[in-house]
Amino acid sequence: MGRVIARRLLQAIPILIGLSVLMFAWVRALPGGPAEALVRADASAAEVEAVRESLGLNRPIWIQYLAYLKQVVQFDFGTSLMSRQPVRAEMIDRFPASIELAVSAMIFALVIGVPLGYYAARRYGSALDHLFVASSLIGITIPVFFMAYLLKFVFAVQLGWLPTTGRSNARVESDHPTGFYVLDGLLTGNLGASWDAIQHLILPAIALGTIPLAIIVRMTRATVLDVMNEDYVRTAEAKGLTKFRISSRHVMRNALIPLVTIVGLQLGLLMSGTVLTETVFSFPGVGSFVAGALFARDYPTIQGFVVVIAVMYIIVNLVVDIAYAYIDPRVRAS
Amino acid sequence: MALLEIRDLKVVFTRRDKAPVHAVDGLNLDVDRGQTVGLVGESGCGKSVTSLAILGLLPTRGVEVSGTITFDGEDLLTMSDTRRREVRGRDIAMIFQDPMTSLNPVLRVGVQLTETLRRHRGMSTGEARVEAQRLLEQVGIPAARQRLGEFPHQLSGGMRQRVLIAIALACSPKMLIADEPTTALDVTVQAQILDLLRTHVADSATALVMITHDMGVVAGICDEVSVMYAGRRIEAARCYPLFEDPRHWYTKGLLASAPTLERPRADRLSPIPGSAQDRIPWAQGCAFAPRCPAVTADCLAGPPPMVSVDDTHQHRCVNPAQPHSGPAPADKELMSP
Ligand SMILES: Nc1ncnc2c1ncn2[C@@H]1O[C@H](COP(=O)(O)OP(=O)(O)O)[C@@H](O)[C@H]1O
Ligand SMILES: [Mg+2]
Repeated sequence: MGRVIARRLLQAIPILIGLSVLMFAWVRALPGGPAEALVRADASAAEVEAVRESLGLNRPIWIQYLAYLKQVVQFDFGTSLMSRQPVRAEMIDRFPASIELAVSAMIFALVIGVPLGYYAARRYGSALDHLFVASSLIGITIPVFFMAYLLKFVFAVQLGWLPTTGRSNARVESDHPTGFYVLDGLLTGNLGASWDAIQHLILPAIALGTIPLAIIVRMTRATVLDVMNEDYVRTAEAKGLTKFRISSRHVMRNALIPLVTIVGLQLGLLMSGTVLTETVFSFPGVGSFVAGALFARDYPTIQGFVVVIAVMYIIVNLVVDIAYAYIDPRVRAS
Repeated sequence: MALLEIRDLKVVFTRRDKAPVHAVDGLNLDVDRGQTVGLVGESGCGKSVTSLAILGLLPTRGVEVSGTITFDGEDLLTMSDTRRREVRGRDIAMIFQDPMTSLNPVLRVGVQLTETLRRHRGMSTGEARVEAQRLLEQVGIPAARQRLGEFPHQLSGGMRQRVLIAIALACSPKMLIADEPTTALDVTVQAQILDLLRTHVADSATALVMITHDMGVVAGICDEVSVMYAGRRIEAARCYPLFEDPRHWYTKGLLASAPTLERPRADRLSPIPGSAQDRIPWAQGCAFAPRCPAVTADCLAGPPPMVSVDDTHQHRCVNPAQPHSGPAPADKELMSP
């Protein structure tokens, strides 16, 4: 297993280099550059050129790239052109927020989706099954921002049950050693802060988790239906095992295998797909920040965040592979 | 009273937009305690469906089951699900055809063996492990202790079937149903598995229902044989009389197409012409009539009754083959009054 992990990490290096080259070329191919975005609209060509020079953008592109690479391997992602802050500082603020949101959305989708999908499969062809399938189709087609606005309007604005925006209430005292607010509250023994963070997460997590939820319901239903028709489930039935034992040990264990792939893929998508939800709830995460950076042609920020998102994709994939090997002994053997 | 009594069992698969399939169509079958009974017939004649009906493993939707299946005095078809789960695996055990797919790929052999022991014999995990090892040794698996910790994919097909046999024998069931247990295996392994079943059944009080399409398997192991055609029993006898003196033309055809020592399976001779699809409903006459070499007008005059040759030999043929007769007597119809 250790060797497999090492090999996968080595394989990731060329992927990351390739991606950073593409990224580097792509941001520079966008119409308008950071110099144009920084100077006044009526600035002369000479003024723009001066700014370009000060940013080092007049050097040959491959020299710029090598210089960038040298910084990045030292975990230095340069300085944001928008905020004049080190990009790394922004990352430390924003990645934990988005990861916390994505993980919450995934937990929501799994905790609701797996039992619903399982139930639908057991009641295959019943009215309830049809209802679940139909609602999951609707779930997949609801636009995320619509869902986010709807939830915010009903539960935050009208009913006032949950906060409308942000990650935490300014009046709740809290320390943030890790940047994951729920975890921070637990670590510092400040349960109030944890609860406050959870309340801020609920609506965005539901909005973001609706599509994964719908996908997980359908996927679980399909795999459970498949697995229930397997010969080994018939063997388990023939042994006279209880229904509970058969579903928990023999069916779910096998149904988890395809589910792990979906969860991995969806988690990757969630990490990079939080823009709309974060915008609606003014949630200070990665998505809204990178969107801003894109408009400002903030090269260092865009490049840095994309590289880190790619690294996270790779880590999620690795975790998926490890989970696979844990669940399926045939994978472990090969 | 026999251990298992099946009376007028009918299993009909009803599917939307399709003609219903009469998989089992009026089956009667008795199995005595400790007896080994062969259930033979071409593929599709309803053998597996019969075994699933006995265990209550038929799908719950799209199936109509009627008749009675009495096991040890209780009707299996009407008992509660809870009670059926107690009987299954403890009093009636089953071995399926394909050992490659019949074990759960993600659970260790030990888990799959001990869960039966813990469920039906009330053993603790530790006791069950010791017993599981003994069971594996009993079915001839070397390094049994180590095998308990392995996964099915680490075992060969023959070894997996041995594990499945160990699971089936774990609670010393009153009856064991083996549905073509050797069909999916190599020829040499087939012989070993049959041997294993034979010795275990001989050593215990377990009744065995051996389902097969292979007359060779029957000859080696069974006390009595029932031949099935189109979901119904068409001939039943003790093993030797059936081989020596088959009366139903279908049985005769099966025996003629069976491999023997002199005629191994490589060059199977004289398969029965036509296919089991060319059947007529039992209500109209003998379902085998369209393929029968000795068909007469009487064969199509209603369902053929079971006729006794003697106490242990019955058949459902209106125009039966005579002892040691050759091919169909073409002039039979002319001679009969
Ligand atoms: N689940 C099912 N749905 C519809 N038809 C079935 C089903 N299972 C079996 N059958 C039909 O029932 C008949 C008997 O099948 P089976 O008992 O499996 O035959 P065999 O004697 O080869 O074991 C076949 O015609 C088969 O097509
Ligand atoms: Mg079969």
